Amino acid sequence: MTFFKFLIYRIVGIFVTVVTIIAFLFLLLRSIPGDPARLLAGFDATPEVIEQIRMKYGLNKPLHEQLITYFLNVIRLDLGISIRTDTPVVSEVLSRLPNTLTLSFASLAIAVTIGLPLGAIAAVKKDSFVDLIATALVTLGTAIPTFWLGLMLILFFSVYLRVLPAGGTGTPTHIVLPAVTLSLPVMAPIIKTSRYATLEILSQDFVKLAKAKGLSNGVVLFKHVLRNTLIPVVTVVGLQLGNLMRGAVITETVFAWPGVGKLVVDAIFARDYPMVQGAIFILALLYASINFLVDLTYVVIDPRTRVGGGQS
Amino acid sequence: MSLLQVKDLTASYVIGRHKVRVLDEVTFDLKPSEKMAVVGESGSGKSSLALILARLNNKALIVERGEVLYKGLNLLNLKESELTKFRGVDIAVILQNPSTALNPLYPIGDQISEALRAHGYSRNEAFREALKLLERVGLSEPAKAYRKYPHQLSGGQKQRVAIAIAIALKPKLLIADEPTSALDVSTQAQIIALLKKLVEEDGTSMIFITHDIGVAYDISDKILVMFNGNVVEVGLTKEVVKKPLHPYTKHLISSAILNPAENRLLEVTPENTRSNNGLKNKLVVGCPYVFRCPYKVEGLCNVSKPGNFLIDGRIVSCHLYGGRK
Repeated sequence: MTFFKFLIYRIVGIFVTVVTIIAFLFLLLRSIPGDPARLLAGFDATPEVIEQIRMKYGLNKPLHEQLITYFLNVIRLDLGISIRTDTPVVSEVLSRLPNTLTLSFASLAIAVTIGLPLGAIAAVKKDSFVDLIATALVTLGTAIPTFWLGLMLILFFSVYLRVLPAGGTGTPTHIVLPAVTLSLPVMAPIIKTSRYATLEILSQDFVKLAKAKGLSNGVVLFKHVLRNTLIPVVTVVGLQLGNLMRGAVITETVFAWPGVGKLVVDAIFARDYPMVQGAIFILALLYASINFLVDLTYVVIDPRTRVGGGQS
Repeated sequence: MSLLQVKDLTASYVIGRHKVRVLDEVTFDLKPSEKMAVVGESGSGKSSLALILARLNNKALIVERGEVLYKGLNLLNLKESELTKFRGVDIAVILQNPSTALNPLYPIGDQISEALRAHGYSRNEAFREALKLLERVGLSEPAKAYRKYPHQLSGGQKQRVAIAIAIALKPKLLIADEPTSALDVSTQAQIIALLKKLVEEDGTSMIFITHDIGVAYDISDKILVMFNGNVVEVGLTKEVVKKPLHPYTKHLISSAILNPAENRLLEVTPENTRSNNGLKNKLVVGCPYVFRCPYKVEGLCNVSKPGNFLIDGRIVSCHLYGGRK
């Protein structure tokens, strides 16, 4: 298989994934109880008013017609008009997206810059104090729910110490608490994988041979061990992206962070079908594309995955 | 003047509260340019010996007593940072499995030249020298081979690369831990011939670990036979093979077909199919070979450990020769 074929294969894969998600979400949303028209019109609205709203948003048509119309619109990059705010979904989501991306990347950066070296050091100094801390962080990060951690951090740093804002945006300090909250569940598997992989690689023959060549300890660790550790860590980071987006929905709500996650939660409560669909569509597209990029980084790190390079 | 002197080297694997002795007062010396084979069955401690000599033993393998004197300097007392000066330049190693001995993420040329660069070569010098080394170990088109990754080479080619790394700095001592055991028979013969030629050209001393007495015969001047962590016989290879003195050496040699014309087949007896692992946890008071020895003398071999007896320039550790000290 050539590299070009691999690219085509993966891009088709992204397309199929996103289409499946849209269709599934479309049907799922309409199966939750609640009627957006009734919610929008208010309690004392007459049936005529509700019917008018239904017609305006096309909610009176059969389900399959609505779905086909929606797909046709998506192809034209028209994600519809929000039922709740009456603004185009695309502009609403895109205006919130930078906030979510900032939060996600800040969390991922914290998780990787702490998790990867911490796991590696824990492995090199197995059974030491650092190893104990690493293991404790893995357990806590896996066990503590994001919303609880968020609330506890607010309680301690905002209410008790009064050093960091409890929510909202504005200054760079606003991102600290949500980013830390979101990073912990992502950091846990990174520490664990980094530690395990480093232990495994340290016992490899090529590490022995690297030492036997007379290379310094630093060169052995950074050149020969760490790059090999990166391979499974990259896999885990790719898998954690989904976790990151799920966490973002909760974290943004806890910290009133104006991102796509909070937008989706508000939209779900208002049964704002176009908004939920549009936001999830963009997140799904983003998730699939980033995973694709993650796959490409293997090619950079590991020569064995370079397709077509097997023969001389 | 000896290049390497090993005295009373005693080591154990310690895992938790369990302790298993792997080397028991191993003593020998090696002259410059001498090629010594260490033979013995699985579990005899020969690989542990190689790892300790190269100071590549993991934390579980602990040296309890003894000295490893390289030009009079005890390597066991050196710190890890002091060792880097000796590694590659004075002492080099070749590991058993070439498929795991090379880092899969770097081109092989880079893995040769980094050994040179760690000892003062510039980038260009290291590159040119690596090309020469690739040529010397018999890889065709060195410039092309330089950029290849380990997964693109065969087992035999990878072992050639490992040899190139080992001889890169013309070390005084080369420790080869079963370098041909992971290869098929025809490749084995090529690798052994190559290794022999290279160490003879450079005047390198070699300790060659193997379980194959035929291979040992081809490559070595001197042979050291190990059983269960003990050195049972040391002597010139030709003499030991022609006339083995220790009962275990006799057994080893009779189990190998050295001369195809003789075509003797290995006799399978409970003694040579049984693993000796069960013995290791027991404290052996007498001779380590007493449980298998056909010549054992009750009341002597199972009570006291034989000393080292010098017979015709050969060291044998067996009570049979006790009278002729």
